[in-house]
Amino acid sequence: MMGEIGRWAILFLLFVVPYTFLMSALGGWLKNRRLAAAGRAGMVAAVFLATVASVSLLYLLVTDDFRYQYVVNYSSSNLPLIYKIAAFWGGSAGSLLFWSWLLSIYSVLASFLKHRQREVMQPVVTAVLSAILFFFVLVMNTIAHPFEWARVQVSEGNSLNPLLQNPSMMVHPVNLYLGYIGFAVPYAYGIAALLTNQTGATWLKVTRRWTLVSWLFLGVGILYGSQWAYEELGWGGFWAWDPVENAALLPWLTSTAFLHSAIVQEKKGMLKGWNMILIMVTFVLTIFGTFLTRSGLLFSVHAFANGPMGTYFLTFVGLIVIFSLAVLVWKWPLLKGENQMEAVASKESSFMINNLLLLGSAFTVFWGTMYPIISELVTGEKMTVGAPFFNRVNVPIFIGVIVLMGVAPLLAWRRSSFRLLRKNLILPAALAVAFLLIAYILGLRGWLSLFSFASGLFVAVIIVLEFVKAVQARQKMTGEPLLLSFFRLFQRNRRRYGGYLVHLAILLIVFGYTGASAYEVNVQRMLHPGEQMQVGAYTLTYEGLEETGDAFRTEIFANVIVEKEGQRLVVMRPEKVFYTLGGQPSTEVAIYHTWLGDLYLVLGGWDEKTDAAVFQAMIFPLINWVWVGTYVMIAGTLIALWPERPRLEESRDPGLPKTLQGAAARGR
Amino acid sequence: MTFWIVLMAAITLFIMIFPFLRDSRRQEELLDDQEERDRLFSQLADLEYDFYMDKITRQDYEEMRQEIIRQLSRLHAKDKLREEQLRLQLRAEVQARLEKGMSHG
Repeated sequence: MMGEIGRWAILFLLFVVPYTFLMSALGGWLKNRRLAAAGRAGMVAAVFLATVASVSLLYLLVTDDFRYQYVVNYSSSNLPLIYKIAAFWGGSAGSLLFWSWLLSIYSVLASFLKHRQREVMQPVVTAVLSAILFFFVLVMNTIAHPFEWARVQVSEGNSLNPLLQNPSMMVHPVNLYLGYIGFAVPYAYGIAALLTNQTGATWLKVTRRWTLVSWLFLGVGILYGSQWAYEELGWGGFWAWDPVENAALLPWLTSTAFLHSAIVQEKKGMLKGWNMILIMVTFVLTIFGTFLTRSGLLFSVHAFANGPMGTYFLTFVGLIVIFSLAVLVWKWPLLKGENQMEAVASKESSFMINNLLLLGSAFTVFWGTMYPIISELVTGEKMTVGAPFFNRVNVPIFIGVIVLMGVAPLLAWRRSSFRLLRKNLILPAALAVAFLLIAYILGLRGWLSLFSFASGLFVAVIIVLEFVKAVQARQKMTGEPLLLSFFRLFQRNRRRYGGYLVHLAILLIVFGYTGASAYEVNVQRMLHPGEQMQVGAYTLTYEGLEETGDAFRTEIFANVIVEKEGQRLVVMRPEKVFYTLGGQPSTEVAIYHTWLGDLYLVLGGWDEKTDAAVFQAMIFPLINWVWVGTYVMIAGTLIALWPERPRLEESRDPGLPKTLQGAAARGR
Repeated sequence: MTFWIVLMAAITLFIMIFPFLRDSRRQEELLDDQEERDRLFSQLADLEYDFYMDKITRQDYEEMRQEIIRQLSRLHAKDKLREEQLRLQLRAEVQARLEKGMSHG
């Protein structure tokens, strides 16, 4: 019964979503409040139906209803409950329903936002969001139906891919989707701003939190995916510039540029054209990324022709690009900046350079990802582009972005004093150079890695000094104690100081990735029971193999004692898992975590007669700083997102006319 | 099962036609100048911050601060003028209604 209810819910969406579009579009065009309200109501109805459909699919998965093909494909009766739930987004049709559900929720929230120029803009926003939603509803009703009957009646399902049976399956895809889908709202507002000629900063202020939340979800999704790959795939890789990884990174890069560039328009009325282009590119990349991963194009150009999914998505991407370009060209004169850039040494110019660097990086990642596809299309031969290309091009760009992360906070709006800038840069620069010298003397090599660390240190010192000077300035003004002043910094300007915390998080992540990539230790050895191997400062002693399992799986694991400087630290148990229902065996690595790095142990294979086993042991210095950086990033973003209380006290500026004083306090 | 599907359709339909069954309310719109005012105050706050954090010289600080205050004063004068015009308009309306009331009475 639930399956049929879900089927009808998806069918009803085919009528409700176009109704929403029509009412909103007419409401906006004719400036008719009742029609606009009908559009919003249509979106509420869409949420209702998408929720019913989602609950229905979840019910089918949780109750093992193998009459439906999707349940057969992605679930089984022995699957733990959390993975039955995760199967909702584990397959194509289910993930499209999940996408539609989330999009409808975001859309209805956006449709009811209260803000300036709401009556003019919101009908257009609802119309754009409903048009986007209609695409997914159409795909679900035609080529990827979540409630399709099973082609053959079976009593058991194929289960979820063993590689996906990991708690990260509850976090990584959900975060990515929340990130991707969230960018539809600022995109819709950008289009609405153009079509209604409201190209001031209102659309940016209204969507700032949406953009920040989406950026955070996407970033956390990418980092969680990296951690999952590191822990699950069994080769110690956490970032391989894989096309699927790049598909998520691309919109994150452009949305990072957008987040920063938007500040300039809010404060100075500049970079309007940049912001419009950045949000359009970000949104297009979210859909393009989905197209890449679903179309089969990554495997082969010919795989693209094997199913209609790729054609649907490519057409949708094409329509979005054409529509966005058309609106942008038509309304370009409205995007003229209200002020001019006065000096190179200014915050405005630093944000613009930031845009250029991040877009440059996005372009190279895009080009490297698409090159194999283009080469196959043009020459018939697929030329691979690997990590060396991406690293060679992007690491210098990222170092540039990091250096800018340090310099920009020292610059003032409009123009800065070179003398004061030099004064503020001396100490951080000196410490960075000192680090380079000491590292080189200690035998560390790899100029790109050393420069990554040095630039990170440079920025870290600047951020710490920003906090120190701000606390000192605040104490001078208010006489507050030290800790209270520090706390009040965050309270009074959450956006700025939350942003600094996020920058510190990025540094932790950079240090972690640089250490783990550039200074990795990798040893592979075959050991008989009782034999030892040396990995860096660790001595590993192989004790032997053991077996365990149940009706559905058999686990074979090795016992390996880890010692350092004669002291026993831990027993590591890397294993291989074999599944009774078939499929590839999986590798479960053993990891010993420390703040300075991980010892990573993989069981390769073994001789069943002698129990001689092949081990691959790796050391990844500083890798855990990446995961810690993720949590610091979450904390910093939450601080930046937190609403600021209205300030009631008078301005302390004695030179400000009395009539302006109270209102001035709001700006501090 | 048919009952649940029909119920779902009925709920959907009700949600969609609800706006046609009630009065639509007008949203209060703030003046366009409010955005400009907010931006100028934010610039003033940033300017003070930059000065206290030793990023700009006192001369630049004074110069830019005076410019922002001039812009704010101009906005304030516009507000005062608008307020005065509104007051005159209201007075004229009230007068007209009173005269209409007296002529009927």
